[in-house]
Amino acid sequence: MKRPTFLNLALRSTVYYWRTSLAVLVGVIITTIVLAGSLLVGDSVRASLRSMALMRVGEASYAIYSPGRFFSPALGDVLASEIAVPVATALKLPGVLRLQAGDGNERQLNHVEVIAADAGFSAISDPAFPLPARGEIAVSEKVAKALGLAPGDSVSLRVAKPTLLPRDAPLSSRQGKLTSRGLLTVSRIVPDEALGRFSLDGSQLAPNNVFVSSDWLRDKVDLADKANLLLVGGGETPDASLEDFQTALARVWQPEHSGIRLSQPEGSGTQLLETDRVFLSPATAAACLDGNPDAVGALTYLVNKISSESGKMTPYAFMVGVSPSGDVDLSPVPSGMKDDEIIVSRWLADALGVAEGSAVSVDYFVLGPANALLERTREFRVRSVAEMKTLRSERDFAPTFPGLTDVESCKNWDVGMPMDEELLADELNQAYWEEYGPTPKAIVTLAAAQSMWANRFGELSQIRAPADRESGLVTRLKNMNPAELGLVFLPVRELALRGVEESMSFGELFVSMSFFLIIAAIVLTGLLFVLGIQQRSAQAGVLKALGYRRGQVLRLFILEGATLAALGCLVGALLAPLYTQALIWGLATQWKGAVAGSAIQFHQEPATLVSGTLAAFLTALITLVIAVWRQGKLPARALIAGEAVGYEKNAPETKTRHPILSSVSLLIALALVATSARADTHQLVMIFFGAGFLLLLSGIGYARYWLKGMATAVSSMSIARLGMRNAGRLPARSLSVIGLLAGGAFIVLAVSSMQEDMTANADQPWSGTGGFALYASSTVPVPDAPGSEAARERFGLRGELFESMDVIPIKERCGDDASCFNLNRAQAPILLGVDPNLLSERDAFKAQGSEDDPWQLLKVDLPDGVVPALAGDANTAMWGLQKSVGVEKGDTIAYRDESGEVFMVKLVGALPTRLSVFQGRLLISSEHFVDRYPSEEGYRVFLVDTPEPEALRHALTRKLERVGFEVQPAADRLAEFYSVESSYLGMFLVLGGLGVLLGSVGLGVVLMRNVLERRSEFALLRALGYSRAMVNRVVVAEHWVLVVFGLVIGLVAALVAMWPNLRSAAVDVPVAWILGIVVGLLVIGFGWTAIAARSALRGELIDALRKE
Amino acid sequence: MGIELKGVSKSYGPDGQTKVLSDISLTVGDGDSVAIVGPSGSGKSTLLNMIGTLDVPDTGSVLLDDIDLAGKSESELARIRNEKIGFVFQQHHLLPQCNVFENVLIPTVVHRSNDDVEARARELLKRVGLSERLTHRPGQLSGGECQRVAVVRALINAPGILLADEPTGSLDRAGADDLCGLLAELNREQGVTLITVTHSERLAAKMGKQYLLQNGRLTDSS
Repeated sequence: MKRPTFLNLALRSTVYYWRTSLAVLVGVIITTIVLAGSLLVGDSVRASLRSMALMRVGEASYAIYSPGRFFSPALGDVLASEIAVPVATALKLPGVLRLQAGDGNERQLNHVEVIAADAGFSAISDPAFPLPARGEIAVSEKVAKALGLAPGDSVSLRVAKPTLLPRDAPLSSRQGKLTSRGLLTVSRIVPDEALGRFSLDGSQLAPNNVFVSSDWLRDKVDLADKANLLLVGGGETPDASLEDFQTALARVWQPEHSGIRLSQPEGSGTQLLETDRVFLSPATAAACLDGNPDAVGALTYLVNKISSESGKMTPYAFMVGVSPSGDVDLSPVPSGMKDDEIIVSRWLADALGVAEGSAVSVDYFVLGPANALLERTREFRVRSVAEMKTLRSERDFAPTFPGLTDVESCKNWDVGMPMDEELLADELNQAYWEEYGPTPKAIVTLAAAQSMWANRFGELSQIRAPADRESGLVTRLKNMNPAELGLVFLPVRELALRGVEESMSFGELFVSMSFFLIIAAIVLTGLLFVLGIQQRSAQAGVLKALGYRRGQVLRLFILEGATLAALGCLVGALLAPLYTQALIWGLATQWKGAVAGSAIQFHQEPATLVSGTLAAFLTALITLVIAVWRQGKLPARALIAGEAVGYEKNAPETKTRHPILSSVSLLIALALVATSARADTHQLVMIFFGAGFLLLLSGIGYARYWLKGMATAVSSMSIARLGMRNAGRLPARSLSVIGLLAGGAFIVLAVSSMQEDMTANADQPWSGTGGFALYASSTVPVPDAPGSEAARERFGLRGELFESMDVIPIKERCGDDASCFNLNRAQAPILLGVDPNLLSERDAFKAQGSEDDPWQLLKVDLPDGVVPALAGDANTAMWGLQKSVGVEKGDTIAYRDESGEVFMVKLVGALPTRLSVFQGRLLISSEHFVDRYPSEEGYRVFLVDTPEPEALRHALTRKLERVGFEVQPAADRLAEFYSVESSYLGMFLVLGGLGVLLGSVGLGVVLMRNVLERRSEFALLRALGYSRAMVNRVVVAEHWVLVVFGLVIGLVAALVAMWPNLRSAAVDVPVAWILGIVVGLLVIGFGWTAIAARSALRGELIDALRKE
Repeated sequence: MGIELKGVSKSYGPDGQTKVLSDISLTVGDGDSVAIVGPSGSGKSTLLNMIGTLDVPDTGSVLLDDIDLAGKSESELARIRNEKIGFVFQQHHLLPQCNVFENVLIPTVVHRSNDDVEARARELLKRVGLSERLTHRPGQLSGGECQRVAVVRALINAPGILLADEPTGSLDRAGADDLCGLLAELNREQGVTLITVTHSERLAAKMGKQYLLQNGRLTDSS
């Protein structure tokens, strides 16, 4: 036998006092399970997000995606040969999928992503991606599930039919079909891991992907030889950097890849540069004209009429503006021609009866805000009359306008402007058309033309240059950087992974949600341990008497605690994954909203488990050290004499000290409440919750003060007073009872009152719906707002139901969803282009009772071309983006415009509601929107107000079904967003409830221990003539006061925290639930008291006195 | 080891209203045995605690081998208790989780010397008749046996002073007699200075000198 060591002694004690050890062990195990298990949820969510992110980009590392600007797939081929990395091109368009179900009903799925991939697509998929044959459609798992599809099913696919010149552009055809439909057979279901989830948007939510043959799609939408998506493979370790690929692209790019064509009319020495988008981009114009005196620019337009002072007029005439030049082959405009001068054709001069020096006026449409066409008039003086034969070359040079220059009769003209049928039928005009075609009837200077007809799509329709010059256009075009035309690579893989890395930490979320549970476990652990140590206080005294220093005694007990903590953590670490899996199960079933229904797979990183376990170990150890610290401070004689319990009452220095911290907390809480008068609704909730929490801390602090006072108060005795005096005897223990109950009551009550009713006040303009009854989105952009005459005409929206509706159309640019549905961090959120005036006039989304108009912020003029933006709601700014807002301090986000140019969007504010139908989006003015994204034609989002929402909802859905129009009550959209928050509250309540349950065990332990160790005291009361019932009353009075005190503190603090919600009609305060919780806690408290009193008073009490 | 108390006073309560010891002076020679008797609450244990460095006087001084304990740090006092003083209490206060042998060696854990304390423990336990009970737990021993283990524990570090506070208070008559004899014998055999506080006249009678503590004053009652 050997002399024992500290460790031996600690282990002996651990084993000998196994009941206490076991209880402490359970406390530590629970702490570890909750802490490490919660962190592992973070691992699981992040790993699942990572897996989903990699599934959606496949093997692609970089991508060019230009939804409205098309390029030739040949660009992919030449790039592939240049960089020796797999390259894929595809045409990706929105569509609507319909299935004639077996039950006779048709099922429709909107917002389908139709991908027509070229052969290279297989190379960026692992496993390989078999391309669908013509007439076949491969659908993703999500689409198959949504429509119940199986291979062999026949489906109808309606796909957006874009035009090369966006429909919003002047002279663009708006009459053509918006969609094209075809019947296809489902060839296979594309698994998620084989590009079934392919998407470039940073979200874990799977898109509705379908894959069709590229030939079939291009035929359907008349976009032969066009693509809008280019992917570069290479997976995790591409062979070259983004810059390398961009440089390689510039090397192989040819103008024709971007639809820029050079031509030379037969017999002409002039080279013409045009684009299939009609209007040349500013970058192309600059590349070809800057510093090039040989070239001239031209802008052709169709004006509404040209009239003379005598009242004669000709309708619908082509005019051209050309830079003045001395070279008559290039330009009919001579040098020195003024901008208010016009050259008229002989035909026009005759028709109007005008001659040199006459005045003519030109009426034309310009594109105004919200795509409205506004008629303008400009006066000119006739400089000269050009003979028709001299204009022959101008006919040859006339650019092609689809729907305009390629029809036989003026009556067939299809341009995006209102045309007078009667005038279209003008015989003279028709005769001119037949004889001279698109020969311009009049010519002005380019400057004059641009001042009238330049628009966001460009200010030139043509560039002319002599074909025989060295400074020819070919060389200049070859030197252009395709990035200037929007062909810019994005590091899609890196962005996807960054979105995951920066995603919300579910580990931290669950740790914070389990906060009270962890606290309860820790308090319980500390309580059990200290009770065990107190039971052995004489041992500590003897050890001191035997020459152990205070530190050595503490070391012994701490070693004992550390052994237990280590063991508990070890067991806890083994069990933590089970807890994680239980939480993941909860996320898959009860709290689906929290992860937007995404499937979360269990995953654990050893480092997380270790750090969680270590954190739990340290937490437990610190708790145990604090617990034994007080014991170590007691003198040996007191410990040996068994005075450890209750010794603190003799400490004079702690007897009357004023609770300064509690008073400070109280004052801060009052100050917070006082400042709430100026706060908005969202801030109110935060302020009052903070005030409530401070009040809770303050209340617990005052309770401690009161307990100490009770222990020393001198007053007449009664049973109740004796009970209260006893409560003050061990303030720390009593305080833990009060703290557990108060904390539990506060957490559960305050959180449960946060459940909001999203339908309340939904009709108010200050609510998250902006007062709109319906929110609609269209799969295919709608060129005109459904409320407009053009849309009524196109979709047949006739009748009172449609007449009474009020629609606010909104443009949308694809991007990352920054709403609570997206668990990834949005890198560049979806942009919405709104007309601030329309919403401001309606007071929509303005804070209740406030004069502040957030929409005015969108008009703020910021330096350096920075675009002001509003976050869709307060939550978007705070959680989705985690960015500051404000005109001065607002954060900026980098975007790329359609031309590939980077521009900054500044968050100048956020809509004042916590949740709005715009959650996850950034709102910019439509003016800025069309300036940056001119090719984003039409509208895809709509706010609709109507007296008959339900009827209109069905009617609009039906009437606009071919564009995949989805209409939902705006309040429902809010409720969908709120479902995420609601799930969080549910999680919080369950975990908080577990904490309360655990806390009640601690309460029971304290009460039992309190009365059992004082049996002799109660025996004395019996000996002094107290009946058993009276002693029982003393015990109950003592603990009753603790239970009530704890509940009152928790309840008052919770009421303060709940106050804004109690006042708000939008919050559905669950009164029955709250009452249930209060009653439940009272029952638990009194239940334990009754059990404790019964146990203490069981048997012959006098024996206890005798033993004493 | 010699003990000397010079003018020791001690009061308790707020403002020192309750005077327990009043100007006590006492000299105990090396190897002497002394019994302090007196009514309950007379301050016997307080006096013993002061000699044992568990308490400090309000005034006066306590000297062990002419070394004044005043001003010594907690650590120094702990070391003195460990090496020079042995305690025996009314209750044995053995650690129930340790066996007899381990209980005896508890004082040696903190200041580990190279001495063969295990051999000394065996020898002392044999001396008190417990050589067969080394692996027994306190719960398996009688009250008298436990108290004998406590005595051995007090002597394990070969202290100069053995302080016993009502050592027979929890024992029956036979057990008390045994322990009285043992303490007296050990005092002689080990040459340890023995001070015992007791109500037991039989124990007091076995000591070389008896003092009566009453009304805060210590008087020789031998």
